[in-house]
Amino acid sequence: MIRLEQVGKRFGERVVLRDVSLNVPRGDFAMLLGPSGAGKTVLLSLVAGLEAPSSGRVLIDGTDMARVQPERRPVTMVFQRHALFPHLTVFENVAFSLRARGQRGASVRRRVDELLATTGLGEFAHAKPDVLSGGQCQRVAFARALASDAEVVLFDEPLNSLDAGLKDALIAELKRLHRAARFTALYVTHDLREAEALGDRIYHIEAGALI
Amino acid sequence: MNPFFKLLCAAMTVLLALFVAVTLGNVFVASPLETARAFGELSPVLKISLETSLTAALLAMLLGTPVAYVLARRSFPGKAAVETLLDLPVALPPMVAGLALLVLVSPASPTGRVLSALGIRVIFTKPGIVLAQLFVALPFYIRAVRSAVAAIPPSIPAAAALLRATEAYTFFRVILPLSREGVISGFAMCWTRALGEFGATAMVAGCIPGVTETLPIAIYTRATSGDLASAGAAACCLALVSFATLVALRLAFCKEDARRKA
Repeated sequence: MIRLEQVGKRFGERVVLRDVSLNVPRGDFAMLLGPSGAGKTVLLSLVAGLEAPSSGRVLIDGTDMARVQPERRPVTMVFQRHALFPHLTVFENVAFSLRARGQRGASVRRRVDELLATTGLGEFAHAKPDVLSGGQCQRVAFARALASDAEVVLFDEPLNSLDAGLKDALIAELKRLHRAARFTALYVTHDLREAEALGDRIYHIEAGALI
Repeated sequence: MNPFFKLLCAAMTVLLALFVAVTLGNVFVASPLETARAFGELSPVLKISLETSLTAALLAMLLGTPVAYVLARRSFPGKAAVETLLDLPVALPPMVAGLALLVLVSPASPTGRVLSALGIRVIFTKPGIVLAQLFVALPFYIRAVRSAVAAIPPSIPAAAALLRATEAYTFFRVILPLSREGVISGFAMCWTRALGEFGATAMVAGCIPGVTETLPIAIYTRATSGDLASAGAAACCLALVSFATLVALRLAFCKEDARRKA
C-alpha cells in the first residue's frame, strides 16, 4: 500500500533521509522507530505530500505520488500536537473532512455521531478543543482522521506528551479502531514499548537511514 | 521595583497622558454653542468622509486579504521586493503619493485615457478620494492580516489539506476565522488612516465643497480661512471617530481574551 523506493531528502546541504526503501502492505500497522532527529517526521511529510523527496519515489497503492497534492492523496495524518482547529467544536472538527468533500445534513451528523461514540467523545461534541485534556484532544484527532475515510493514516508521535496510563488506554483504543476500520498505518515513535504494543512490523531509522 | 524608579515611571505616565489630553483638548477652540452649530454645517463633509473611507477600507479588505495570505504562506522569487513595494506608501510622503496618482489618472496618461474611454472620472471626484485613501491605507491592512496569517501554526493548514480540503475551502473555513483579530484590527487601522488622509486626497480630488471636501481637508481650509469653530468641530469629529475605534477594538479584544481564559 505504501511503498518508498530509495527515497532521499535534503534541505540545502543537510541530508535528512538517504536511500530509504520500505513497503507497508494494505491493512498493516507499521511502526517507524528511531531517536529524535532521525528523519521520522520528514519521512511522514514525504508520504503525506507536505514535502517533496529530493530523490526516489513515493508510491501509494501502486501510484507514483510525485505530482499528487496532499488533498488528493488517500492519506491523512494525526499530528503530535493534535493540530485541531481551535475555532471549531469537537463535532465540527470531526465533520470537517466530510463537509470539505461536499457532504451535508443528516449523513454528516450520523457519521460524526458514530465516530464520537466510538471514541467516547459524545458528551464533548459541542466543546471547543481548548477545554479538552491532551488525551481527549488526541481522541478527537483520531476521530477526525477516521472521518476522512483515508486508506492510509500517518501518526506523528501522537502519544508523546501523555502520561503512561493514558498512553496505554489510547494504545488499546487505537488497536480497536484499527481492527474496526482496517486502514494502513505508518506510525512514528521513539518509544520501543509503544512500537511493540501497536506494530505489525517495526522499521528502525537512525541518522536518516533504515537499519 | 525600586521606589524611586516606580515613582519616576508613574510620573512619566501621568505627564504623557496629560500631554495627549491637553493637546487634544485644544481642538475645542470655540465655545460649545459655536462648535454645536459648526457640527450641523459639517454633516455633508462627514458623510463624504465616512462614505469614501469605508469604501476604501472595504476595498482594502477585498484586495488586501488574498495578498496578505500569499505573502504570509508562500515563498517566491522577488517576494522581498514585492513586500517592500507594498509597504512603500507608508513611508512615502502623502503629497508624493498624490502626485503619482494624479499623473496615473490624468487624461494625458494611458491609464487616464482608458478610464476616460470607460466613462470613469477620477480627478476631482469621490472615486479619486477613494483611490488616494486606498493607496495610502492599504499597507496597514496587509501588514495586520499578513502577521495574523503567519502566526497560524503550519500544522493547521497541513491538517486541513490532509482532511481533503482544497486550499480555497481551508482559506475560508480555517485561515480567515483564525486571522479574525488581524482582519478586524487591520480594517480599523486602514479605515482610520483613510479617514484622516489629507495630502494625497487633496492632490487627486481637490476640495470642492459638498463634492470632495473631506474632514481633514475641511480642517485645513476652515482653519486657514479663520473659521476656527468649524475647523475645531471637524477635528473633534475625527478625534472622536479615532477614539471610538480604539475603544471598540480594545473592548472586542478584551472580550476575546476573557473568553479564551474562561
